[in-house]
Amino acid sequence: MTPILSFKDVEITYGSKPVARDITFDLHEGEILGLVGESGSGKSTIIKSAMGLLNSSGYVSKGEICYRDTNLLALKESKMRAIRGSKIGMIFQDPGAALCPIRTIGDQMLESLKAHSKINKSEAKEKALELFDNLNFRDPEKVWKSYPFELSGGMNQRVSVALTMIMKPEILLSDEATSALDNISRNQVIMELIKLYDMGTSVIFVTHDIDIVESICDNVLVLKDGIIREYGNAKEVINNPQNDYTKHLIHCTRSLRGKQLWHMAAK
Amino acid sequence: MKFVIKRLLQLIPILFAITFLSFAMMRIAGSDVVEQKMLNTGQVVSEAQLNAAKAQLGLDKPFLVQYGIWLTKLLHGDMGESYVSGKNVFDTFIEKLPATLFLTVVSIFLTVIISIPLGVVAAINQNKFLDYFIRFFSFLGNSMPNFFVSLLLMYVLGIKLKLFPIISKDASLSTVAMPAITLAIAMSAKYLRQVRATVLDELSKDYIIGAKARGVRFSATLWFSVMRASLVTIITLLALSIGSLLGGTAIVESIFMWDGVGKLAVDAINMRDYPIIQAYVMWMAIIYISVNLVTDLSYRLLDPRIRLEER
Repeated sequence: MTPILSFKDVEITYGSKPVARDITFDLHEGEILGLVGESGSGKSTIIKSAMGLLNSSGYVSKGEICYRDTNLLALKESKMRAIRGSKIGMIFQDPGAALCPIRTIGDQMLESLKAHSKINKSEAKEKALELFDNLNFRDPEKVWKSYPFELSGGMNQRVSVALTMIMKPEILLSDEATSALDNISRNQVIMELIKLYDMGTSVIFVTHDIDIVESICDNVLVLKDGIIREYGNAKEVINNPQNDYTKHLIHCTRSLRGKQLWHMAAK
Repeated sequence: MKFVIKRLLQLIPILFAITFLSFAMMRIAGSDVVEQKMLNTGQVVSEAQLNAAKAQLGLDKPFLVQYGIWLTKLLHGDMGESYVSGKNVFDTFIEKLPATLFLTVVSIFLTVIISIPLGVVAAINQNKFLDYFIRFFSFLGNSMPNFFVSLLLMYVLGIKLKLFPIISKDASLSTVAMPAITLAIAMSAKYLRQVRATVLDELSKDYIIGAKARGVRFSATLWFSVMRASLVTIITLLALSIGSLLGGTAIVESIFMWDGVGKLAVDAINMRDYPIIQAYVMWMAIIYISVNLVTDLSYRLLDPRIRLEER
């Protein structure tokens, strides 16, 4: 089976300094792949490179990034634009930052849908309200009319997920989408991402939360300093890490959780 | 609506303060219309003649009494007569306004159509050739004073190419061209940089990446998000210019013999023609208050954060 997204020997350079090297992995249909590593390990850079969203000094200096059989790096901007959003969607860390502050959610939803298909406002609205309803948003009509600053951080992130979902992408890149949220919002967003996955979307989940990886990811890729340290089945890697760095990362999370449990028991 | 009424009410104390201040400052400046008229002719005038002329205009009375008289007349709708021409001040002013309004509208229009597109183009081509090219001209425009540009235009467009008349007899499209271009060059050069900076600032925000990640065309993001957000800054800047233009541009109006309120004010100040000066000062206060009002209202329209905060 051909992978839906594959990185082949990818090297990403900022200015003249390579920040990620020898990145090779595949994402198959129906797979959730976790990308873990500490801050600055190159996780976000890697998924941004697949979307052509690196900032102006960053570029892919080696290798290929393929969406099915198409090398994304060789695509013209207009072709790449058609893929963004409709084939590969992305959710960012900062809730609400992905939305223009002075335009309503509805307006931006309509704009995104219009970028990929001929659709009028009432059709778009109907579609959006149905999705909002499906995601258990309170008062969908109000959300449609709201400005991002009128919603909470968690709600903004849920709207971002909805905005990505409505275009039914085949691949979702989630860039630490839950790390800025409180626990309730975090769980809601994860449930929504799982809904998207149930609709047939493959997911790359960038996170530093080992627990999420263990509970929802099929495979995991551990990164440090822009180099893959370990890549394989999520449960196997977490339960039986081979690489020293992976061991350290898992140990850190586990010992913290152990301390939390100990504190709770002591109380 | 409440907001508008509040703002208009604020105008009242401002007008009192500003007319009083200008009244006082003109007295401090020394000399008066009688001295300006009689002594500057070079004729020998007796002290008695001077005093008689002053008494006729009420200039011999104490300062506060003079202000009181002026204010009482004003509150009865009479702005008085010009000391120089003897004509009604209000009528004189109204007569000069259309020329200034015309010049303001044309030069602001030119500024907008020059500076906004060039500023945006420079921003989206940041640090590329086009950006440097546009910024070079902005630098050039910024460094040339108004009177120099006026003379340059007169020489090239008026004398060499004979496109426009050098001295304007009336306010028409051909006569407004050169003064308007002069003003527009200076303003565009300044605004272009501001527009560029504002747009660049907006382009660096995260939502630009967000929209791109959803496959939204850059042109759509540029027009509907970036431009709209940038307009708040641009309108603020334009409002300040509109204010000063409506007050007349003394230098440009004088050079091109453009018969507007700026020239009227300069002449009135030279002659110590108090009633005209007072009218001018009031006009400026009204302009600034109303331009600010319109600007604030437009913010509300453009930026929902300002609009909704007030609820």
